[in-house]
Amino acid sequence: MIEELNQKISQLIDNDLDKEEALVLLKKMKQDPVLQAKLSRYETIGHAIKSDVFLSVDCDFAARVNQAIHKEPVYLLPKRKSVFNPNIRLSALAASVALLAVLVSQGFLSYSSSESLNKPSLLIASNTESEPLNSLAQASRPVIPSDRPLETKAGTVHSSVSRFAEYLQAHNSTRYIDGGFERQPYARIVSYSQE
Amino acid sequence: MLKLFSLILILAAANVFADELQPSPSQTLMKMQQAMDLLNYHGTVAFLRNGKLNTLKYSHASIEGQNQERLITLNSPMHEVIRDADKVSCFFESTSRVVVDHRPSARSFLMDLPERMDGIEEYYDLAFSGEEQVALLTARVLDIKPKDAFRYARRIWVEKQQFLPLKIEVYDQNNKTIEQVVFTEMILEKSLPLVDVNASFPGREIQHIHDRMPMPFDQAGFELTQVPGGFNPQFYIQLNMSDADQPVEHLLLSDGFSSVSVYLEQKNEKMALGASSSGTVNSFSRLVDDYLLTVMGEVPPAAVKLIAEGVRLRSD
Repeated sequence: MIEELNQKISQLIDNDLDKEEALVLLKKMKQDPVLQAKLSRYETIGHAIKSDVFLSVDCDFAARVNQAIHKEPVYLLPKRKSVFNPNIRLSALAASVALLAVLVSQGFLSYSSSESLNKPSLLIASNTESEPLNSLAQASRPVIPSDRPLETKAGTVHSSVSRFAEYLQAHNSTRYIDGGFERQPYARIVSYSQE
Repeated sequence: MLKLFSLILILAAANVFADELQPSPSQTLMKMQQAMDLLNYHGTVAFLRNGKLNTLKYSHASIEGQNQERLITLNSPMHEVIRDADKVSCFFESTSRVVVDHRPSARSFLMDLPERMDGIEEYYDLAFSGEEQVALLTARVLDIKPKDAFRYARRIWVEKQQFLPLKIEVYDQNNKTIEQVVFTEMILEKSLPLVDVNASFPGREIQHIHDRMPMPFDQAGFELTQVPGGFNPQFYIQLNMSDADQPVEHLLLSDGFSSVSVYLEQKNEKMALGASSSGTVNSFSRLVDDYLLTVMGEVPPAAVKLIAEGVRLRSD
């Protein structure tokens, strides 16, 4: 019987015991301090074998933690009063649905009547996609202002950044300090190689 | 009692004379320029530009009027830069590339300084604002404040004994620091050797950039009708650039502390127009007939816009 219990405690630690058996064993252990001490020893041995570290924990460690938790005061937060009464909530919901319907319908109308209105947002998306290209000249990447002409597409931005980097290089030799010259677009290196 | 009074009087007089013996702000700038040219010194410098910190070993050698600055990076990307009077040589360790850029400007990597100090106070207020320790050396703090909106303010910590700059800060119009150069250590030497780039990299292919030879100003295809006071032409060159069939014209202006470049090239439909910025550098681009004009420099946006709007093509 004792052998069987020991076996089950070992299985419990290794998580090999099924749920029903584990519950029965835990109920037994709850009433039997000897079994609790055995569980603690088994856990300590298992931990020491796995990690080469020996941590000695008193048998009543868990009980003391449990006791401490029970001693903690209970904080009761005041219940938040609802700002709106049920009638106002329903009215707000109805108004929101109506507003959404108006906005959605207007959005569809404007899309079908004026396609150009959507161009700026599409261009922004294409600029975002061109990020890896622009990172070629990251040290001197210019901040592209929002009032740029609409032809500011991916190729344009790259070309502008590339030319900006060349201008910077010619403008001031301090660009050599941060190694910016080495990160110039390949086109520039080719042009110099042809000399 | 009489002795004590005499002692106080002597000390007060000595203090007055000591103050009078200190050079004025403009004299200090002149002495600093001379010290930067004539002395041999080396140390570690931190450059904070465009939000990026670069720490480099710096040395300046001067032998019989010949100056050479040398910078070696301490962090990746590893490279070494040597500045002689007429060229900047760069060695990139990762790619073993050696590039020698023959360029007309002979300015220091640390900071630009006016060649002549007369007239500088027409555009800047110069004043000392105290003494501080930088790299364990005592420095006088020199404030250089612009009198108009077309240039940035600066503060230079000038070492008291040798007049070398230990720290330089550049501020934008909101008084925010946009550039900082700081020596974390500085050592003065009696002499330092000059490095011969050709001998330093034997067997390596050296890429020479030769298209930056100055040309007469009157060969420029444009003229400037409005320029902030104190900005004078430094050189005019014609450059080969990528995607450009014709050479790009480049005129460099400077007021001593700040420089502005004017570029003119054939119209490129892909180039963006208007204002843009990169760290301390602001630029403004616009079309002038069939040409693209770009003005850029370490000056406020108002300055580049003013110059750009005043550029006219030469009719001859």
